[in-house]
Amino acid sequence: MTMLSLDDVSVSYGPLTAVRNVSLDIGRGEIVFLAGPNGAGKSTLMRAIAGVLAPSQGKITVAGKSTAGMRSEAVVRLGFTLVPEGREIFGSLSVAENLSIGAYLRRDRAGIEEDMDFVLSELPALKPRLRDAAGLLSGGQQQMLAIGRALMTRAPMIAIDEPSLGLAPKLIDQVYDILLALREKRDLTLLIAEQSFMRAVEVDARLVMLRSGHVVRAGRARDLAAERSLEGSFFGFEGAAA
Amino acid sequence: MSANRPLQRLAARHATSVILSLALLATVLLLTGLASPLVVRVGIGTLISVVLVVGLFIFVGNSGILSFGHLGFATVSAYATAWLTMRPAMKKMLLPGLPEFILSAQWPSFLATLASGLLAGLVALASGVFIMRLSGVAASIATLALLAIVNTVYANSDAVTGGVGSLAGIPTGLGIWTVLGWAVFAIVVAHIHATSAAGLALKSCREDPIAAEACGIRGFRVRLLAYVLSGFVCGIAGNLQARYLGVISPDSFYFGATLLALAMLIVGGMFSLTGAVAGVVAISVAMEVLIRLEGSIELFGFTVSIPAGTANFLIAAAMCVALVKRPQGLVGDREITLPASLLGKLDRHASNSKNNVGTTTVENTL
Amino acid sequence: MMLNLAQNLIDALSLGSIYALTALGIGMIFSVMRLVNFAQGNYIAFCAFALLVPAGEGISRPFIGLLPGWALVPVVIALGMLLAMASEILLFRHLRGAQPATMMIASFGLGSALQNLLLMLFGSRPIAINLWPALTQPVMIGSLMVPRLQLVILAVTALALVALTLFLRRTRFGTAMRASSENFLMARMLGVPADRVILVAFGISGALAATASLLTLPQTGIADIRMGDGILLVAFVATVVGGLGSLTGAVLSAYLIGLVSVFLQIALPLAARPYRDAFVYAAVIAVLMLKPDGLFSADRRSQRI
Repeated sequence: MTMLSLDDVSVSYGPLTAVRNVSLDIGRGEIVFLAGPNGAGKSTLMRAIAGVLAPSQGKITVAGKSTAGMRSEAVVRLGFTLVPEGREIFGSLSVAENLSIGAYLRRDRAGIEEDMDFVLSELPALKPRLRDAAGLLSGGQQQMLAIGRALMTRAPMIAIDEPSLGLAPKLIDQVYDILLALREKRDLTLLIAEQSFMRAVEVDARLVMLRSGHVVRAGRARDLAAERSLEGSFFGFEGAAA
Repeated sequence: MSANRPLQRLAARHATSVILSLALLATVLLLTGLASPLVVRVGIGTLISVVLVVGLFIFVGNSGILSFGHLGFATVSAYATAWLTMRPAMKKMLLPGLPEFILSAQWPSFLATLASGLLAGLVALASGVFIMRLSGVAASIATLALLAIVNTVYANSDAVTGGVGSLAGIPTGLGIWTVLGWAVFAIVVAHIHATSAAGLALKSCREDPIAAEACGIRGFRVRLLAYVLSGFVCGIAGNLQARYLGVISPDSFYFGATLLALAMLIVGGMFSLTGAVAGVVAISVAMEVLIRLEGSIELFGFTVSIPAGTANFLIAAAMCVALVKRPQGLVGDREITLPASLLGKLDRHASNSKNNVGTTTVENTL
Repeated sequence: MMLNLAQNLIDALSLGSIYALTALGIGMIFSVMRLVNFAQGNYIAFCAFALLVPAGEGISRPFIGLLPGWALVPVVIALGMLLAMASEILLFRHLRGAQPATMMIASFGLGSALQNLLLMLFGSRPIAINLWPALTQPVMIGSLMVPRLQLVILAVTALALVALTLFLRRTRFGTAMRASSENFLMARMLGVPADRVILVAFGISGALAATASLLTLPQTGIADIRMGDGILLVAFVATVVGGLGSLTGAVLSAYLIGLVSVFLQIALPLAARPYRDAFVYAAVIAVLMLKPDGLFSADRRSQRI
């Protein structure tokens, strides 16, 4: 079943086009990496899917429904949530309150409690800090909280914008271990943006390389990595590479 | 690119203030030639608002900081005008607390305008030394506090200001040409400042304070300069207002007047000199037209009385609609200037350089 | 001496209460949409005139004012809420994403429209309203004589503050409002309905304006189309001095300004007393210079990476 489908999507800021003609299908349970340098259009694309930006062209479909004209509140209901770049946790709210905001749209009390227990058992670092203001957490803990908050929405598809941003390498490994484990347990569909494609190769995921808003390469990360020009397409000197 | 096109550069640089001044001149010629004295009087009032709002623009437009304090400078200047120009006999009666040398003074109007404008500038300097160390909302609120301070002081110093009530007896007889002169002065000063190094530095602080500081711009200095300059120009407006009406009171320069002046600026386009002038004209004309509606009118043989407040209600409503339709203001952040094609022609004869592109930023807005 | 001090303290607290209710109304809306709502003062005047029938210059003819207290209070509060919510739906909703300065001037336009509407209906002269005259009777607490009204003001304000705090801290919607005030976009991405959050904020600020209006009326005995202006100015300053976005800060600074005003009234020499407000505002500038982010800005969002 297709969770997310992009059909010839372009996104512009006024006269500036940040994403051009991107088409992509992601099936349920898949893990897909969007890789590309700064300004490639990764965040823009994710924000467009989340309903924060309206695409200037093309069609975005989440779980079979077009998101055209939808605001971000409505896109969450369809089952897509975004953990934005920089985490954007609510610093003045407690950790527990941050998690409960994730469950804002849900009415199933028992299910929410159950998920709260699940999140705390998967992200044990949060447990002792439940009553603390989230702004006091360390960077790694904030990333965990942002992921936990996304889990609380029960959206089957989570997009994460640069989860490794500003974290020490050891913490990054930890974050990915958790993400992959969660994907197994919850049958999550993951769309992850990173500057580097190395992580995609490591976890053997599908890789979509963006540069200047275009898709320059797409396929199984390990297959792409075997081609010598992969770094070339990242840096933009394909022709000169070989 | 334009370094080898002196005429084009000169024209591009001063086009805005010249066009705005000419537009005002043409309007005044039209008014004095065709209109009744009453309409000319309305024209004078509007031109005084131009001086005030352009003065406000010098600081607000370039710094991006909303100031609520500038009507305070107008207050200072308006009362200084009363002190310097009222007949000594009258001053002895109404303002007995003034020192002897002011009691006996009766200055010519031009000198009094300059002096009261300078006093306003001085008050801006004295307060700016503190307030301009702040930025953003904190600075805005500090200017509001300044307005309240000036109002309290003037409303309660009965012996030198006449207190809360109106102070009458300021010599009137202000001609429209004098006011036009000051309006042109304000526009030219504002434009020169906005395009000067200090003005550009201030705008860069508005757009990105951290990057500006990193380029070596000292926010405090450029803010203070603009603040004092705009305090001076608003002071001139206060002087003109006093001479126009002959009667002043502290509350006529208080919160309501402050918000109206800000509304004119923002309805026109907060970051544009053209917008400042356009906003004044739009709101003043709307007010004049609508105020005529009040009172009683004949309608199909019946006398319908329209209650007081109707005009201002409609103006306020129209202002809300205008802001919703054009949140960036009537002209946005653009300036009126000569079309690029025309500018390009200026130097064709003087230099035979390659086909020119013209300055790409200029745009004809009206 | 002690008695005097106690009396002055109660004066300061009841003055501060009116400021606090208004500052809270401004703060509620500012925190969710970065709008400084200058119409808040006009909501206060509107609620006062809602008690009357338009009967011409200066004539007092009660309308809602005839209702018994138990019915009058909820009706006026509901009117205040409706007015504030209508201004969101009719005006501010169409200005989402505009510059804060533009929204602020639009709120001034709205306030001016409301004020002139009252002028058209009721004329410019203040109108006497005899609301709850029993409240002006003093009560004795020990040997201290306190107007009953001041006690009511204190109690009602305390009640409103507690209720609002409970709402914001303990309810799901309240938590969502706090989240939105910190990061509106993120809250929306988690499904928090933006328009409803803002509408509720307006509703609350309208209710607060109605409360302030009902507490001011028995004290002054008149409805004046400009009655909210002075309160608004102080409340606005209190919101900023407290740290924009911090509701606790707004309330505390409102009381602080009330205290400083009453204290200066006693402490200043006779000749300087008329200039009391100038001293208060000079203190405001001094505070801003020392703490530009506000006295009580507890910015816990310090980014740690």
